[in-house]
Amino acid sequence: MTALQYRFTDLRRLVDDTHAIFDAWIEDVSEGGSVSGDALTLLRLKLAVHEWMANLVQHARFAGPPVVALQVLSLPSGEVECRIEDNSEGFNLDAALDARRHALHALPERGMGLLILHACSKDLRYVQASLPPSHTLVFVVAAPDEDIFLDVLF
Amino acid sequence: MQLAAMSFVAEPVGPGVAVVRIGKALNFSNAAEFKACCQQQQAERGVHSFILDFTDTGVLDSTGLGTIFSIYRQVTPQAGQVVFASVSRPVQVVVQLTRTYKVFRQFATVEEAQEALG
Repeated sequence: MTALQYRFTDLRRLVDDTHAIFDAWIEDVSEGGSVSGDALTLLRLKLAVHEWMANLVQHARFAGPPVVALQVLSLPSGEVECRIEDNSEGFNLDAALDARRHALHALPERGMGLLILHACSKDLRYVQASLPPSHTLVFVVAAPDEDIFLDVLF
Repeated sequence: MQLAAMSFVAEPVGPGVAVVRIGKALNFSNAAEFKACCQQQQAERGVHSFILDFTDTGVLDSTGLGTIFSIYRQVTPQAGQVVFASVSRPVQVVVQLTRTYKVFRQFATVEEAQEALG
């Protein structure tokens, strides 16, 4: 079941617009509204999505006008899956994660964003879509009872 | 008197201690301003300890946290501290995820932090 589906074309507003969507969702859940979800799951999802959107804004190379599509799905298992498609040139996410794991020193100033995204998620992958230039980030949000953490900072 | 660096305001609350109101977000778009604000306090006021007020903060991202680490590394040689106060739920998620509660003491309110650092 699709819980959220949005399309963005203005990178300058991408992060703020994403926050507004999640803040409204979290507020609705916190107030016992009609939208389904667990507050901690949504906060982890918001953080993970923020880190990815920030990465796109700061580092992605787009050959044409940028398009970013966000889709959040409620899985039958009760878990939440997130899919973010973009038309950037893409990059090797696994290699970037490995590089950061090996390069980070204690209390780093930069380089934690993708690791935070990884820690908030499982089954994380960034794959080329059937119609290039298009890539899709896919992940399932870590469940609320999972004690997630980064083990590389100290 | 308060010193402001762009969107951040630092309020001296005691000898060498200042409160920085983080506001809605500390992230990649304003982390440099936050760092400049803290460094200005260090240089012009001799501030060595910072109380970060996260009351209204909806976003603390990796860049924001990294900048706090940077300030922490700058003040610790001067026996300074960085502490968190009134930590909002979104910030608490980051603190738990990164285990930074091992580095930054947390206080329920700014006033409690002031008493501890006073």
